[in-house]
Amino acid sequence: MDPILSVRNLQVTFSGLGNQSIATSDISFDVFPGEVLALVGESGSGKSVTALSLLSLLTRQAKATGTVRYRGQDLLSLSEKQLDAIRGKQISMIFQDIMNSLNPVLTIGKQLTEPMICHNGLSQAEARTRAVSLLEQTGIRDAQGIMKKYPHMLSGGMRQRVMIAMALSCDPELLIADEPTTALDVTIQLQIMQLLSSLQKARHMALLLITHDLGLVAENADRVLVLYAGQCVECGDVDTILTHPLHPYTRSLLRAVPGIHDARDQRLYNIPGTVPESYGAMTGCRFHDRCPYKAHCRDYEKNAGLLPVTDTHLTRCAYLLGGDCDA
Amino acid sequence: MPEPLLSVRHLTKTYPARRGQKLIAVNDVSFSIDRGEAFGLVGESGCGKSTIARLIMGLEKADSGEICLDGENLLSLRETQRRPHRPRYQMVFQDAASSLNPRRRVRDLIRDPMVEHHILSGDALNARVDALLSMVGLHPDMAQRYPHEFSGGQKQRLCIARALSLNPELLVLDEPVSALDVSIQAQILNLLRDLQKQLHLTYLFIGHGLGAVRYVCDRIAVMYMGRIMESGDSETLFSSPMHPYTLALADASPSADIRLRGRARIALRGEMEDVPQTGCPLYHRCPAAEEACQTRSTALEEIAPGHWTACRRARLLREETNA
Amino acid sequence: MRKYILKKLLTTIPVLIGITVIDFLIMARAGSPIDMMTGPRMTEATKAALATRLGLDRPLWQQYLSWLWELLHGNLGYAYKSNQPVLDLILSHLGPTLLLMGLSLLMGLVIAVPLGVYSAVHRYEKRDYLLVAVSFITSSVPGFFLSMILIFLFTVTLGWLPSGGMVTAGIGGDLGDLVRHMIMPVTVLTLPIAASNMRYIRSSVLEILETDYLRTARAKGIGRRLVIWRHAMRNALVPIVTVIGMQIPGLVGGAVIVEKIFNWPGLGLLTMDAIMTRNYPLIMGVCLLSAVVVLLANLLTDILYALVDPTIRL
Repeated sequence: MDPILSVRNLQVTFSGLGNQSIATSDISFDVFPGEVLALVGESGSGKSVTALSLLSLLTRQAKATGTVRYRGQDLLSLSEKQLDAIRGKQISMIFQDIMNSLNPVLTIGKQLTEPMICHNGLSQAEARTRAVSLLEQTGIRDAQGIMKKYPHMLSGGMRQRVMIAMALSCDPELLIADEPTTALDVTIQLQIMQLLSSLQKARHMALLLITHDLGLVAENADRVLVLYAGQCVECGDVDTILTHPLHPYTRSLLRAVPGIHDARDQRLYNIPGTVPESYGAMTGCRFHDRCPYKAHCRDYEKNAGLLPVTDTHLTRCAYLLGGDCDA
Repeated sequence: MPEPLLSVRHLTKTYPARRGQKLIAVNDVSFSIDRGEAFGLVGESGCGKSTIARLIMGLEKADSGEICLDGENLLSLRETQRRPHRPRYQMVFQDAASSLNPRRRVRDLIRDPMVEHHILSGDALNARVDALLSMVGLHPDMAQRYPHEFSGGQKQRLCIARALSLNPELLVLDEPVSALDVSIQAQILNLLRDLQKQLHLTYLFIGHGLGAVRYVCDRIAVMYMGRIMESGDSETLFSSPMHPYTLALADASPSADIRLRGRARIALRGEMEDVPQTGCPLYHRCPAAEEACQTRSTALEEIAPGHWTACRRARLLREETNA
Repeated sequence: MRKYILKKLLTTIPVLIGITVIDFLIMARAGSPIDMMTGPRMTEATKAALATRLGLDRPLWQQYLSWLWELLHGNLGYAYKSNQPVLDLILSHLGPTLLLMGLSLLMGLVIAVPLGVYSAVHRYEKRDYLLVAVSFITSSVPGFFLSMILIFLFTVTLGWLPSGGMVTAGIGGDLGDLVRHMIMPVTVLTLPIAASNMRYIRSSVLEILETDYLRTARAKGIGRRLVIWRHAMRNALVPIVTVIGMQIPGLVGGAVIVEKIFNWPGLGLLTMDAIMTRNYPLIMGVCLLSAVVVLLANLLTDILYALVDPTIRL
């Protein structure tokens, strides 16, 4: 099966006043039709920057290089106008900050119908009818009433439902969800994730889920990309990554989350230190300083690149793979 | 039985809302924490857990009820009478960055409370600052720096050091790890557990992440719309919950255990709404609700030793199984 | 909304009374109109008689109360010397000022809005820097200096435009004549308004461009024009409304210097004369008018806010 989105060597650089900082370097992945791919990482890992750069939604100070191939086109080389034909129609996006992601001065109806009017040439009335049915699909009962409301009158959960309805209004092939439930309470998070998952399956739509929560990954993803300090450190299918991870960062992360059924006397694993602040110029292993195998690993200064464990499982750690770095 | 260090009785706090209505933030809440115990309050945003912390700290005025520290009701004291008690209970906030004055050096930040309460002076004071920094895992040399030079996790360590400077008996921790990344969360949670053992501290730990609260606390109370729904031993509360809300919370918490993927989960309907508070506040979202739940009051009842629940269905279910 | 407006209007009454009291006190300290009206040869007795006739011999609080009493009957008093009713004087000068200032503010906005938005959209590019630089230069040229250059150029050298007044004596009255008289004063007044408003609009739009909801709008692929004019502009208007609200009182205050240079028969000129001659009734009348306009402008700003921003409920 051919991927619908193919990202190769994506590097995003932010240039400020006289200085440059690299947010992500060398990120490559494919998204296949109908699958859920999770990008997981902590803040500063570059996961949101990656997501935003796919549709060129970063600020002007950011520069993305590499290729993002979608249906034979490189999205990074398209003009704004060409991108607008794809944004919201074939690839759409929902965001983390639900309180501010909807325009406060426009009604829900106005915002929801916009993509359908612009992309599909629907009339105002047609778009409204469809918008109401979309809202109903996202589990909003009083859809007619919501259409006339302004965002501030809705709860966080409701706003995210509206965002989902809006993102799906033109039947996209790929939905990018950037921490879609981070700002929500757990019971609402469960509702939203169940909704996203059922819509994704029903529409056979691919979902790129950006999250910091390994729990959400375990419950929703088919494949996982673990990001650390702007690099992909490990990727593979969700079973493998969560049960037999081969990168010390993935391993550490899994042991650092307290579960609600764990034995309480078992101590949480401490990942010492913090994510390096500027990692653009780092060569070799970026996790080395915090790595539990620090004392044993000799090849940390070499640039390992992603090494194959199996056909579908890649890791950046040569030490745990047992091979040598040049492999 | 020894007197609990903190006991909260029938605490109620309301805020004025639109059109002369009242918003009941904390509704007749009672609990007590023994010396050396870690007690957790969990619940979703707006459930009143942080308001309770602010009421205990005296940052807001309760409408009614008692907050007793070692048997003495703090709410009956005037501000001047309360002041000598202040060093005994300290608070750590969620937003570490904004609870540290950016224009002051770390040394001064940690020293201020001790100077204010005439605890130490001179070299002893500086030595104490160094000791506190080491205690929370920071290097004493860092005392000369400003808060912005620290990472998020380190800032929270600074806040903890400052809170510990007055040798408190009770530490009120209001979502101390919610703003932190997973790997940093684990560091702070371990630190809190170690400090509690080392210094025989009593904790009131407020959080929304069930795993984190459970990791630190011995007992947990689950709150919903200003009321305690269920409380009990943290070892068993989430594994055998009696209240549908606790069950739903536990079910909704994402688990990184791949074996649990696709498990049947109880999802609550709708969202938290301000409904008239007769009967059970969970009524319109509860999967187990029956008509009587709408009107019947739901007081906490001890359903098993140390396990309290405010669900009338739970009682019925238990009676059925006992019969 | 209606309740809010009513409440707001009622609260203006004590505010207005307070303002007039303060005005009255300040004015009484500024010197006596008698000295301004009379020459050195006038006897003390004549002066006293004049003071009695004008009511200036009474205690201050009595003067104020009688002024207030007359005001409640719709009478603003009579100007000294000319003895014309103050109300008539103000009304006859209000029109030209409103025309001049209103047109300038309108033109200023018509220029400022597109330029501000353009500048913000092309932020940190050369054209943005150029526009901002031009705006600063324009703001810093003094009005009188620009006026003189214009008069020198268009009246003295080219002879295209009249140097002053509102209509040409004798033949005046038609629209073309009025327009020819207005070009220069309006230009002098418009430029600084346009320049400063352009920068307000630029920074306001800049702020909006960074918001999450604008990113959402961009992610929808609805095209740049809708993103800017539908999603950004209305939000950017909220802070701009405040600025415009603050500029409205200036409409009435008039531009004293410009009115003086171009001999424009407006309120600014009238006020200036009233102050120079300590014409108490006239000064009080103008002060009262300004106070009313400022308060009304505030109310208007509040109402506009509520119209632009749905999260504000009055």
